[in-house]
Amino acid sequence: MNLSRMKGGIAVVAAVLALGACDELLTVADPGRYTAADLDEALPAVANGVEGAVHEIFDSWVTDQALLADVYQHTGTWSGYDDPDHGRTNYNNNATRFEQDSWLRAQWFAADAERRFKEVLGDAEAASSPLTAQVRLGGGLATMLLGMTACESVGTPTGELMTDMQMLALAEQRLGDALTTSQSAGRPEYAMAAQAARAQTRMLQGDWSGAVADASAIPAGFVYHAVFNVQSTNSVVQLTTKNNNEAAGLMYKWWPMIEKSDEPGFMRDPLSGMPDKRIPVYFDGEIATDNETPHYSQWKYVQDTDDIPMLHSDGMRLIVAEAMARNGDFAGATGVLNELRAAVGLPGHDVPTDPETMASIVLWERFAEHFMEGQRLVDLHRGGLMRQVFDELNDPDRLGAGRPTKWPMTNQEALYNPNMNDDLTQRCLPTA
Amino acid sequence: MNFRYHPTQGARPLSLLAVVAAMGFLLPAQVAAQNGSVTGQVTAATTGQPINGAQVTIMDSSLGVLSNISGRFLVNNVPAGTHTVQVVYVGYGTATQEVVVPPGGAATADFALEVSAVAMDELIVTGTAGAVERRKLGTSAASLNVTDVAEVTPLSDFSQTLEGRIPGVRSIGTVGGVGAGRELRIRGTDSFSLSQRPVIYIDGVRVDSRQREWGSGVPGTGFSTTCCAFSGGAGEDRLSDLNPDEIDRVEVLKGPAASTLYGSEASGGVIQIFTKRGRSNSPANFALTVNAGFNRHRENFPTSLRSNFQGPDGTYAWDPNETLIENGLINSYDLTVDGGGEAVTYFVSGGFSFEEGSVKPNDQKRANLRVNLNWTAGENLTIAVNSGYVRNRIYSLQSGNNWLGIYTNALLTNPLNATAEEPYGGGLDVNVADAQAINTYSDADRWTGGVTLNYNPSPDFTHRATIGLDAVNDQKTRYMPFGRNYTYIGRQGERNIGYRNARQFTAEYVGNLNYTLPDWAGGLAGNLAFGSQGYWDITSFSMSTGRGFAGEGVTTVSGAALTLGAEAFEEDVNLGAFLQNRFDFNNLFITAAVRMDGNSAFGENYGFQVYPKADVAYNLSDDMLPGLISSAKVRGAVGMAGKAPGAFDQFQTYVPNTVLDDLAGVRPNNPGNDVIEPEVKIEYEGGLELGLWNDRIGVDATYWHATTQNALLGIPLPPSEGFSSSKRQNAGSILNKGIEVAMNTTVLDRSSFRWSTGVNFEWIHNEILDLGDASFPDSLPVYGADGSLLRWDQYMRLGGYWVGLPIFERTTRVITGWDPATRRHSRSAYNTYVGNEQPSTLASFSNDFAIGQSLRVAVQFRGEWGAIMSNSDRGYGVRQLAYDEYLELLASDGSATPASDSLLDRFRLVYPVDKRDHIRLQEVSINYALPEGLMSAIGLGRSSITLAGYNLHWWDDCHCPDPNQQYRGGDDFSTSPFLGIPQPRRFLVSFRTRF
Repeated sequence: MNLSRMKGGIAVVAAVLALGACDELLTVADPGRYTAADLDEALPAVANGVEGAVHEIFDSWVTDQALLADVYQHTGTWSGYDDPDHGRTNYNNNATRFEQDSWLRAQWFAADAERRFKEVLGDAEAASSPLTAQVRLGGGLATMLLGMTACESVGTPTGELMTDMQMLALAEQRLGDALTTSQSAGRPEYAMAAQAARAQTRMLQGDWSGAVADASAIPAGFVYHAVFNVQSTNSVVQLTTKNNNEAAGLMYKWWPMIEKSDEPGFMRDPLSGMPDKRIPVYFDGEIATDNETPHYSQWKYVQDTDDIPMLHSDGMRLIVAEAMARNGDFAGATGVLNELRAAVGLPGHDVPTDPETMASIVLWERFAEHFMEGQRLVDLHRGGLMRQVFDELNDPDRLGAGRPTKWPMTNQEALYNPNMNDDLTQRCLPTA
Repeated sequence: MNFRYHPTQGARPLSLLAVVAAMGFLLPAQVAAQNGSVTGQVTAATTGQPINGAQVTIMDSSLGVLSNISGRFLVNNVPAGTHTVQVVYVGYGTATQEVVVPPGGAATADFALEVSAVAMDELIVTGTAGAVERRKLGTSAASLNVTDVAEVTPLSDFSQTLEGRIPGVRSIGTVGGVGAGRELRIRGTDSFSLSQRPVIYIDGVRVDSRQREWGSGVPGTGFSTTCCAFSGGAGEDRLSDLNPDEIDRVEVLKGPAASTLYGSEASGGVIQIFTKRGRSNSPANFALTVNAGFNRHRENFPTSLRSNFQGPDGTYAWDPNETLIENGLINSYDLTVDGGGEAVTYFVSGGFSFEEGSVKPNDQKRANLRVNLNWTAGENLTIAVNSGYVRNRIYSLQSGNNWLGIYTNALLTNPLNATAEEPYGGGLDVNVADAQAINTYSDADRWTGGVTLNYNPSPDFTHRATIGLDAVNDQKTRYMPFGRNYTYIGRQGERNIGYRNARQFTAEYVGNLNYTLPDWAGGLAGNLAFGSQGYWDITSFSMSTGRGFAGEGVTTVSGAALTLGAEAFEEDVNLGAFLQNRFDFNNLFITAAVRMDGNSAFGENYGFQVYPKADVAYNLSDDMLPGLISSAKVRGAVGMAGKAPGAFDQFQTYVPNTVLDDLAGVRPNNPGNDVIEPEVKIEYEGGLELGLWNDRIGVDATYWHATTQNALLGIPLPPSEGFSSSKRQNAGSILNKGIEVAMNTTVLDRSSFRWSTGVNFEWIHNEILDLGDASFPDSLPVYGADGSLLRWDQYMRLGGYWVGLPIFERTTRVITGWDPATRRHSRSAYNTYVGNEQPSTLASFSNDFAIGQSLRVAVQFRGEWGAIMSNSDRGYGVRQLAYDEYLELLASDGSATPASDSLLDRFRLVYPVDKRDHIRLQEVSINYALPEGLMSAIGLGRSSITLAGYNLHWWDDCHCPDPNQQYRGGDDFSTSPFLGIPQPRRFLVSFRTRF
């Protein structure tokens, strides 16, 4: 071998050695992401992230709840809205899976955040920290919403299956912890939200005395919103509202109660025929994006940064009124409801004499007060009213019989949680 | 002579260390004294026409040139004595002559080449570590002489150049906007998530070849624009930057059996583009090409009945076939000059093209400038410098799955809603005129360049080093004017700006040593190649949005009431080294190689990846062949190549987000995987290359079988574990296998008429073999034609993938019944498998007729079979009461009928499934060589005029405008036709001249 060849061989060896020494060259980093270690220096952002994770998907939940209930109908082009409108939902076709996934993650993140706070702040400081209060509230709300949405879920990472009632019981406990922590941390806004949410969970479990106790503690004027911003916008506006995508609109059963107008207006109160300011709507004769259906738009949320009330003092009053009605105190219940009506300039109901009338008044007032807040489906489910409400439509495309009254649990959890049977047909789905 | 190597400022040293180490040892060579030259002319035997670009080589030396436009050549510095001169040109048989070069004098050798469909002496460079004759290759490397193709068929797009010309390469147009993404994929789909585009090199420099630069926003940030990227999904294709007039030839490695030496980026194949170069001892040769023509859609949009219907104010609805389709003008000018002296050759090219789409506004203005220099710096040293610049400004078409799409809003309209203001009928609530008022631009500056040093101290010991950079600065903008209605941004107007700056640095060193073992070792000849290669990719994205102008007049982001922004960054570094040895046993050639790679995207705890390969080629000697067969080569190869994971997949991360009242928040994002590996693909192939009837017919057949192992899958985590992204794991396995056959022949070869024809055929099978431990058993129902449930088939499933089905499986619900009482259909509760969205069989049929000395006619058909589509476009069009299929069922007064209601009900429940099978008349070119006497009288050389048509017609049963329609352009994992505007037909007149 001549000298050139020898040197060539040396070059190869040099190349291989150079490659071996290049470990540093092969190291990169993503400047757009935090690592787990970074979060120890960003505890407020962690707490905000937990609470924000509950809020940012609430808008989608409101729309999906409205479609499966009798609030919205599909007026666009997307089967993702057409299916729940027509009561077509199953384990493969679950409109709320994204919401459920997000809230399941929020539960984990809340627990992980608490662990982090203890590590960074120490147990004592963490126990009374506003940050802990915030994440406990976020975690409790996530559990509550899961209990309200699906007939089963899980409360802990890859946990065992829990029924909706077990989830609500867990939510009650977590919200109680959040209430206690918020009070010791001096954060009354978190405390009120936790207590209002606990009132709701107690109501949904049938613990009316507990619900009233909590609801009564909430002062007038209190509202806890799902907050939206320019980065995380309100999709109720973007996807279903006039001048936007108009993919869903108010169901045709409500159309006779809405006037055509070039200006936004209100649905008429069925009792008085007066505009009910709790139900802002807008119909100017426009056809929706399916090129066929008149678009009756909700007008409660107009800007895509508008917040959605999750909990409020008027809602708490409704809990009190319903508890009275269930105890036979129709006068008391009607009085509370009429106060709410008077606040928007509507005349009061006469005190009913029979439970059915009382129940229908409560149902309507809840519809009006909680318009486009996601509560209508919950009310139809717990009242066993889904079949009756849809049978009254006599609509072959929207039969009452067999219409789901809650959602199946998210299939991603069911499939990938090792503590759960992969057979999705084993998951529950309550129907009318 | 020693020389120093200066790395480019800013480039990482990467394997340059190795380059420097290697080059520093190189020794000067002795300059020979008494040299002479060889000169001559190369012509076609039957026609006597000169052959341009034939490769003339002085055997046993590194000397060689290309023949010029007149077929003439001159090789200087040939040592005095007897030499063998070899001439190789694709399409003709190799010819050799022995010459005696006198000291200081010239020897003459003229060559008249016979037509041949076999090219065993063609040199292949890509993937072989050095130039190797095809006869020695055990793989099915393909090459395409673009210069030759362009002689007959005007080319305006690089991807179009490949269309139907190489079996195994699927290059098709999928959307109608000029400059928009195209499908380019080799040998099927080999990954669940990583890019399917082959890696593309230009003159040894790795280049950006993205078909979509971003989707709905800044990657990974969650920041998106109003909808579906600035132009609606298809995006702009960076391959549209290339000017085909600069390209000399292309080499294609179809898979790991051939591409192992490219390591962790090559499992999807490699395409190397060689740009044109000057010729030594040649005067300046100028060439001018002028193209003019137009794009025009075929008038087959499913809306021809629209104009029979009136809206509420009496307006007859507009039919987009009549009102939307226009002639889109095409003009292009390319001027090149090449030539050279003894030491320096040059190729300089300047081009400008302007092209409009058939649906407007949509156009592309592209200016290219290329300078390629070759300097023979010494007897053993050549330096090649390549520099290509392009400015590519595309006025993008608003199209696709996009609320702002022009086609969308013109077609998805109910004609009964037509008004004077909205004569199409209203569409998706955006007036077509408003959609057409949107200004959407992609404005790219790009420079691609490199320096290649060839140092050959002897013909048997050579060194090549290349460094290069591909730099793309792309600005995308969109402006929605104040006062017009754009759904949920209302009438307030919006401005978007996005920047993508991409830098790809390449460095490579390759050494080649030809040797002969001592007699005691068998006297075997062989070649040892070694080298290293590295690349460093950096891409940064930024985007800003301004929404809400006070009025007309201000169009900047900062002039809006609300401003938003985001940025992202990606970085990927790869370093590799390889060693290859080939033994030559007379007609038997055996090659073995190994490449080792490290990559920044590999998991921190993974380490390096090793890719081995081996191939064998055996050329049967004449005495072994029956009379019919004139030449035969049997080959086989096995090789491995990889594909690196996403740049940051290995890291566990939390993503920042804005929550509550504009507060900073974080949320769990990527669970990370610190042992993530590259996907590896092991491919074996066997092939037969035959020459029949004295090489008049060439047949090249290959069977290949490739298994992707460690395919990256997003393993979904239970949401209760917190992280929103699935965990990227090497868990899957994918099978691709196929048969490729290419047959070429010159049916007739007379001085007055020649007919050459070629058939390419490809069959491909794609199947998921394994989805890892996270998959679970699940069942898919199988329904009969009457909707009855026949059985359940069980598969292992993960996410939307099923073991045993292809990656592009389509599962959907199907109609299972019809209730005449309620007049409603019923649908299956579960999805059923209805077919593969990628074709299993592809074929093309090309003919080239030369009539007399002046006229050539080229015709190409191509076809695809076996693919289906979930025809969302058709279903959507009916659901929107818009398409002919629905309108033709309406009563004469426009009212619904039971039949129209039935159709509507059906398509509200399911999307129809249609076949994509089709045959397409892809190209017709008529080329007329103008009389040379006339041309020379006005000072011009060889000149021709060509009339050409592309994408002229197709025969299908797809219930759609075009079975190749894909709204996301060349997206790797979406084939949905949904509102993707089809490819237009294209008509050109081209004038080419030389002077």
